[in-house]
Amino acid sequence: MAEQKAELLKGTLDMLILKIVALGPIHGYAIAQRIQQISREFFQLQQGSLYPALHRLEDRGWLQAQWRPTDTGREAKFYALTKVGRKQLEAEVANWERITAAVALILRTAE
Amino acid sequence: MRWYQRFFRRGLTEKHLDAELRFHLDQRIADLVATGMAQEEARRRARLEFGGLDQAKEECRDVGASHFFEILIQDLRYGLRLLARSPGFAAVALLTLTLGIGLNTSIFSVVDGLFLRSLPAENPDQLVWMYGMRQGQVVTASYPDYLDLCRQGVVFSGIIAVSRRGALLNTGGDAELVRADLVSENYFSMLGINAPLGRTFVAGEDWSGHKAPPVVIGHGLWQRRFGGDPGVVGRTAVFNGVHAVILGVAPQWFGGLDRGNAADVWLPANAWPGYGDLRDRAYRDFDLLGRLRPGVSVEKVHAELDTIARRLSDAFPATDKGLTFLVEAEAERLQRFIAPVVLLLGGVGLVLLICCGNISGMMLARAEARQREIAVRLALGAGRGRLLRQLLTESMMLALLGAGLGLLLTAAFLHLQPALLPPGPFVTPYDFRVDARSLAYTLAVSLLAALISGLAPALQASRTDLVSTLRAEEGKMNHRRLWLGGRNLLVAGEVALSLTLLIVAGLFLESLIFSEEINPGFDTSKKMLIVSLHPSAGAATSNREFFLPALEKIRSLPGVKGATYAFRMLLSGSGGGVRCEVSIPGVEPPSGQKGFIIKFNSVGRDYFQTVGARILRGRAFDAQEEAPTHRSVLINESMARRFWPNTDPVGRHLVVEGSDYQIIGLAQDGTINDIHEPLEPYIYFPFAQ
Repeated sequence: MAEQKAELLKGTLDMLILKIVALGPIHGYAIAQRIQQISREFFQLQQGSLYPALHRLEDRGWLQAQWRPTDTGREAKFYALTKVGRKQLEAEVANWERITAAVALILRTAE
Repeated sequence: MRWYQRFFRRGLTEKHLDAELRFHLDQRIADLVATGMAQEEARRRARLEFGGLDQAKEECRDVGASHFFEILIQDLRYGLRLLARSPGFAAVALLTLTLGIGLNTSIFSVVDGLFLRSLPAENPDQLVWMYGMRQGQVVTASYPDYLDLCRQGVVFSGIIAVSRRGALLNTGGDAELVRADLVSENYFSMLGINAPLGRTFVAGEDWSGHKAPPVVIGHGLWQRRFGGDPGVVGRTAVFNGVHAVILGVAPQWFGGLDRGNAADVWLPANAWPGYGDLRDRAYRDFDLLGRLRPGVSVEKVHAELDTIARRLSDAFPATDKGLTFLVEAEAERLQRFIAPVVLLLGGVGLVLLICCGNISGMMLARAEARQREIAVRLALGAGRGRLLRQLLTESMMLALLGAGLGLLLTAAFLHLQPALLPPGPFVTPYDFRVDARSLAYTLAVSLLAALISGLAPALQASRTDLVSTLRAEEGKMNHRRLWLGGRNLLVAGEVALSLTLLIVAGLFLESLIFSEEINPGFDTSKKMLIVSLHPSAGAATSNREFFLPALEKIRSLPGVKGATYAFRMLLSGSGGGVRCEVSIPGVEPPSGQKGFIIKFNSVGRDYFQTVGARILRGRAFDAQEEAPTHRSVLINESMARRFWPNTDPVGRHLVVEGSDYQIIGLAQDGTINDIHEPLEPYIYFPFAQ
């Protein structure tokens, strides 16, 4: 396989999850699918590592979980963003943009 | 979900976690099968993509378990299970800790009640005691001096005067001797104490001239004599034959300023002019307590008191010449008791240390047995800090359980404690109690105990060498190494502490034996029963009508060998004594005084024989002294030595308050109030009149 896969940067998984959940209540499997689709299979995500992250975010009060039936009728745990979670997402995105801008700037000027 | 919800719904959480992860896998398998993959292959692929299932689960569980309380509860559950599994260890450890902590809390309650607690008043830090100092002796104040201090002093926002008396209370039934504090009328308002029932007298209230003087009664007396009747205010009680009106009841926790010697009633001095001589400057019987104005410096207080003392000295040379005042804060006063405090708390502290040592030893032994368990936990990735925390939580749990039981022990001790005091009419229940202070002390002591007893074993255990322990059969191979250092130290320390305690106990015992040998001036091998008789008000009050018939009745009781009576009891422990002014022909009195102030007793005629006090020369009282005109006294050895050295005092004369008395006998020396005080001159008058 020629495609290159990258380890997810530390701390970015939380932000990605928050971003995806921000679009509407969603269960863990769908989140994993989304991350993989959006990143065009770029990130190599051990799907199991998603769940501790989800539980941690729920524990911090950024996500809210609810058991609901899916389209197939089976019960799944759906996650939704809380108010605090939305603020946290905004903060993390802003922070991320600052960092990438700074890194890009350094790379450009160093040339 | 909150930590406590998670705690109580642990099973549910686990089921949810399972369901969530299973949903993920099933969904992935279904998706893969939909792309045409074989069922088996899809299952394999899904598991591969997911990664470690158990690891994910464990990490999910850890999210909740990272909470302080969650871990605490986990450790406590584990610790309790462990204790339940070794009931022998649990019982011995708990018993040891209960005794150790209970002893410490009990002694702290006693020490606190006696020596540490501040005065029961508002802002006790502002309060200072004032003593007079005259001819190199500390003296209490007279009421006129007190009034002058109040009038002239500006550094104090208030000064109160207190004099402890006894008063005969009659409420219609039996008469009872009660402890009465004769106080200045600003007493309660200056201390900041309000009556929960009725009211107290307040500053500036003049009760002189009132037909029925007011009293405030203590909570104890209210319960004892009035059955806690809420309608007691306004009722009349007879004190020393005077009808007084009950103005209010003091709070339960308030027993006056004399530690361990609670007052029963408070009488405003200005309502009882006939009680003591409040106009006599020579009659020094009041303790003074002043409340400093905020921000007043010590120098200013001394300067002002010196000025007032000089004025008094100039204006009343007969009584106040050379008078100065001393000031002492309660905290300073209490520093005099630092030795017993250190001795008592230090002693029981050592006992607790030994208890901790024992428990530490047991825990070390247990750590050995648990070595394999601990090694397994370490191997599974438990951090050393986490392990330490768990082991310490276990010893904290033990210590706190011990503290709980220890408090029960303390409560029982404080309940039974009055029975440990020698019986007597003036013994009061001390105000020893389990309060916020002693609870805080207990908590501190038990946490300290947990640290002392648990830290070493925990450190030792968590240092377990993984590989060799797991390899070794039953983990027994390296127990020698684990044991040696810590345990030797422990044993040596315990022996040293025990030896120290043993020596201290020996010293205590020696002084106890020594005090047995003190000669109190009477025959201690005789069994004596001291009865205090108080004629009820309105009944016969003269000696002939009351005491003599009463004595006859007592003498005729079976088993009674002899009976006598006296004005003051032997070793009454009151700390004072009645005094009279005596002049002795040919002996110059101290400058500025008309005579010598000497303590006395009035005794019945069989007194010396009954108590076993030897008459060294002359004779005891006999029938002659029953005639009121016959003025005879006996004196003790100290008095003879002081005034008639080298001569026989028998037959000599002395003058007491203007009347001439002849010394008819010399009695052996004895202590007056308690066996520790120095011997001093003493006069015996006949009680017969």
